[in-house]
Amino acid sequence: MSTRPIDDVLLKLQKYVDDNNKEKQFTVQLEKLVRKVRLDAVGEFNKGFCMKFNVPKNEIIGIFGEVDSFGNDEINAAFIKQWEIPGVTFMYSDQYYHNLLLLINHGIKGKNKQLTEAAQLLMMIKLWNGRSIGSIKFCDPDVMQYVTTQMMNRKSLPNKYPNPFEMIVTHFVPTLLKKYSPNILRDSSQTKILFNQSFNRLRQLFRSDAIPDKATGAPRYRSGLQPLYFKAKEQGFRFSTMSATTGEDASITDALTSSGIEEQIESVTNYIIMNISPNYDKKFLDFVNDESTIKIGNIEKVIKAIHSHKYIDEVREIVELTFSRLGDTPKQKFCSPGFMKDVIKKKIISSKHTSDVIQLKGIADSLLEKILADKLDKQFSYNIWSNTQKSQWRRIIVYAIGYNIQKQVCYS
Amino acid sequence: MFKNFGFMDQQEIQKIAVEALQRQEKQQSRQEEKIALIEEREATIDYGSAVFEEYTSDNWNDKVKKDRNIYNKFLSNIEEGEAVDKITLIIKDFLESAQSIYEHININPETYGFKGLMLDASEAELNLESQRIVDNFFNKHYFSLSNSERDKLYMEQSLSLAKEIVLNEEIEITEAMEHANKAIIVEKLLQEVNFPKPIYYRIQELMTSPLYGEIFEQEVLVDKWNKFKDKSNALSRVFAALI
Repeated sequence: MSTRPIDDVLLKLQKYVDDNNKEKQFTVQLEKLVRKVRLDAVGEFNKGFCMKFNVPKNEIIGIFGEVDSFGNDEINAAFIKQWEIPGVTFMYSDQYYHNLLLLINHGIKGKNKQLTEAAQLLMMIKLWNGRSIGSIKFCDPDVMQYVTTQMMNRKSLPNKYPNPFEMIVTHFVPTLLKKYSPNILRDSSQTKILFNQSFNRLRQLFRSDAIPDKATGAPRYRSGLQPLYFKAKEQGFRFSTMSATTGEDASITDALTSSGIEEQIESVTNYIIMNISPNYDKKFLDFVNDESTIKIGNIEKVIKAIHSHKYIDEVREIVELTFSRLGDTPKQKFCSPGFMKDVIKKKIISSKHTSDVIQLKGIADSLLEKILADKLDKQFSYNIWSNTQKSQWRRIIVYAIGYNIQKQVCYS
Repeated sequence: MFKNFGFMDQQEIQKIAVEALQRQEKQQSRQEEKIALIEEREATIDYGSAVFEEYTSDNWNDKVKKDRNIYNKFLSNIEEGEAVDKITLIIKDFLESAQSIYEHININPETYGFKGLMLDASEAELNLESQRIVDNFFNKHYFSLSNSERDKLYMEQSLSLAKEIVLNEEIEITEAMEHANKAIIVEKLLQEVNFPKPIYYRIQELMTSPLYGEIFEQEVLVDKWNKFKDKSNALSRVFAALI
């Protein structure tokens, strides 16, 4: 084995990808896993920073199963040797991380952003689970919510993001990759730094600012989720005791868990695309007209267009992302007449930095591009409109999907 | 009766035909290039997408917080009481009409002046800056101009307003002219404060764009703009009386 065995495996991976045209397959495979992780996570969102992820361990360990030129053992040995790990250590020898780091390095070299980001996310969710269990074994979401909303600085990440998934996707994945990709591009040994930093950033969230305990000499942490959590628990602080809890605060995903979120997404999608003669309330159309400032006739054309099998993929994805975004909404609010204004407008239309919403807007854009090309005169092609006007167009799609979700979930 | 065409004649005819065909092709290709150019241009028309950001109510509130200092400059010339309350209501109504235009066109509100100030600027700093804004505006649009420049810019409008004032309020013409001049400058200031130049031009563009009118509620926008102008006109006359 050479002194740079990671480079050797990378070369073999590149050759395999080139010879068999597998770049897209790896990307799609990882993106699918990310989708599954997110979908599973929706049911956990109400646990806030106590949530754990379903890690697709087997899928990642088996990801190079079809490759003949190298295998897991070679990858494992390459990382251990090049990282200069003495003997077997729990995390540094983990095949799950090695396979993902290999893909991250490969993605950075080939400028495959989707692959790199998906692999980084999948790496961080496992690191999250480890840090979370290691710091707070039996985490009470009610206490944790008190910590993140009341005890932490407004600028702190747990206060800023509703759950760790959003935080990892929106904050950690891009910032870590931005910082360490150039180094990895120069030297594959730098994957170790990326790994260490990913670990450290998450650990710091749980505990930092250590001082030696006077009695035992062991480190005692003064800030981070862990010390604050135990302080809140000791003093009996809970989020629910701060606000009036009616018992009707069960989130929509709580209500959906029994039948399965996936099933609901499917049924709403079918409800939309099968209903080729939709009937929208005038009140709703007036509301969309008011919110988008687009003429009612044009709104109707766009809304009617989504009720077609032609756009099933886009509709499904938007439904899925809407569920993902609204997962922690109390069912009572979900089925109330103010759903559009209080929930859809606040959580989707006005939201700018959440990953689900960013993705949702991207899909709505591509759907509108197609609808405008198909249903409106060519001169009104979607691309002629400014970003702010596109946002007004998007409102039609977002509200229409919200309208159908509410109908199906609450009244069907 | 018929000319007997020889080989050379046929060649000549073919040459003419080919040339005609080439000309036609050239013209067609020019036409296609033109269409491609138009399409390319259409694809890049973005109506200011690079310039403007989306409307947010937070930014609107920030803007109003700063702009209020300018309105307070005028209000500071009268003693607190019923009159101030009434004018405050007029200002509130006026601001609502400006806000609804921003919401309609979905553009992030911009502030006129207050550029160098920090987010947590003190009241004294805001006060000073608003005084500077009002002074500079009046200097630029009135005091620094020669009489002929003033006449050219404002005479026609001043005369018509003064005439209205004289008829309705039985004030002398010189006094009415003075009031009209002030009101016109204040109105200009109110418009600039609420809709700084880039936003103002954008609104004008949207109000007249046939493309925008086909898709968006252009008439509603025009209506909102006219209402804003009416309210701005009324408020400027109130403020002018306070100077």
